[in-house]
Amino acid sequence: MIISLQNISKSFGANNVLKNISIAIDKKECVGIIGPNGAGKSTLFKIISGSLFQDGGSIIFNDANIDKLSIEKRSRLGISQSFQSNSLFNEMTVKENIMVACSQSFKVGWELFKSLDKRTNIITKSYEIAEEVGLTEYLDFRSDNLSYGLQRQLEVGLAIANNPSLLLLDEPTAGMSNEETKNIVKMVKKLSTYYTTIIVEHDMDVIYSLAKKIYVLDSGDLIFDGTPNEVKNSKLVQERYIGIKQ
Amino acid sequence: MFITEILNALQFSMTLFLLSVGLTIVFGLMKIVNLAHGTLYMLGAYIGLSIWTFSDSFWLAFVFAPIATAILGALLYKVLFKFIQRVDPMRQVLLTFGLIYIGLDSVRLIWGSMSHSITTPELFSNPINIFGETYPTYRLFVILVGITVLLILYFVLEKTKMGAMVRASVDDHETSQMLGINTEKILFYTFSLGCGLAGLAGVTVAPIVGVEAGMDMEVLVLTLIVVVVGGPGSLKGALIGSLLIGFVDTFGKVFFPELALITIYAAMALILIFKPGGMYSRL
Repeated sequence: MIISLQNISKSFGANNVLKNISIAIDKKECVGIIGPNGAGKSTLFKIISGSLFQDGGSIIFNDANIDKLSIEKRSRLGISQSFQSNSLFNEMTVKENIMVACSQSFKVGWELFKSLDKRTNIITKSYEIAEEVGLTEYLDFRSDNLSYGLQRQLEVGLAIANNPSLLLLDEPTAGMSNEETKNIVKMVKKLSTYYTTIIVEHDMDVIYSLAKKIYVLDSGDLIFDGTPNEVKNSKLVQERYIGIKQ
Repeated sequence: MFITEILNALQFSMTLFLLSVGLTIVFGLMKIVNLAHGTLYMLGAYIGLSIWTFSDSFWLAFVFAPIATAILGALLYKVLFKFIQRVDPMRQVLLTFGLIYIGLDSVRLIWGSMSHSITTPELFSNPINIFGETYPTYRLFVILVGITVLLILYFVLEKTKMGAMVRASVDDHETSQMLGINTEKILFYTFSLGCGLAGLAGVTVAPIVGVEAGMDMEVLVLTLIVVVVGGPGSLKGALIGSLLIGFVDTFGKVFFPELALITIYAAMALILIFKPGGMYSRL
């Protein structure tokens, strides 16, 4: 097991957004978290990443308690993420974005004053990442000049730049065209064979095609978990989530 | 006359650059307008004055005054600024405004209300002849200091891993944290460096403008204008903004002495009409 969420709860005022959620995820597993709006998916995502802290419960990552760790400390332990919102360095090119991201995993000290362009290990790694996320031909583009779909691909590139042990993807296909969705699904499918992945997603087809196991949240409760087929066939899920959508 | 004014404008621009570069990068990183930045400039001049008085060496003052203001900046960060990031801007303004008064009264208490002066180092005591016009060599030295700092900052910010991390943190603080960049450490060192540069500006211009309580307020407004015009968070913005305001101010005083202040504000308004975020905003 790589990560275990134990009885996680979170409230905003009187609103109990998460109620005793327990989830355990194995290495190299690709897990989906779904639920209607307000189910608590994004809150849970933020709690795992460290951008929010839970009120109760614990998070065990690689056998260590990470409850008190900040987002950057969790990142250094190997928890990496791609947010829904634009989280790129807009003033930088695609290459610079990836170089900054993957430079974190290389030696520091006086190396801090060495040019990134002269660090062959970082350059090689950057090209590998760009290829992985399909951005080789856009390396010299400023990231704010990329199409929305390519920006999301780059965000995933930043998230995998430090060889994470756990990759968190928050609605990776949100706002994308069908073509862009197809591209990113194909990319994430490939990545999920190397990295333990948690995907929060609205699009059921996307989650069915990517996740091996799905957790269903509703109003802060974990109401079901199972394989995509089990979720599809669950009357409770149909009634509480899919039914609502239809 | 014309060459003299160009050099004066350049010297003033470089002083503004030393002041604004720290302020603009700190604003980019922390979203704090540090109104007390001018106070560190003034303290740089006063600390330099004390070192010069005791040691009789301008060069010791030139080296140690910026180090002292950088250490002071580090302390201010640890006890105050660390806790006011991303809070209500009004609290930031009130706190940093309060620091101006604390700085002013502290200076009066320690050094008195009299004006002081630092003698130009002997190395620069003779003026130089440039195209038939004599010009004080010390002012050329101030220009050189500004250009040297500019080149070092450009190299560090644009060409090194450290600089890439600073630029990334200015660009998107949260994403930087998400990637494991220690933004807290970057903030600390950048803030201290900015305070050190303000101190460097203070001690460097002291032989030209003198040392007196209240010298901070004179430059603070101009520095803020430079940051606004250049665009917060940008090294290039700080440079271009400093050159623009430095030249407009110097030539405004020469050609339209009655409208000297208006020319600066008119230039700022004109730029903000076409570029509301400043010329090179990174934010």
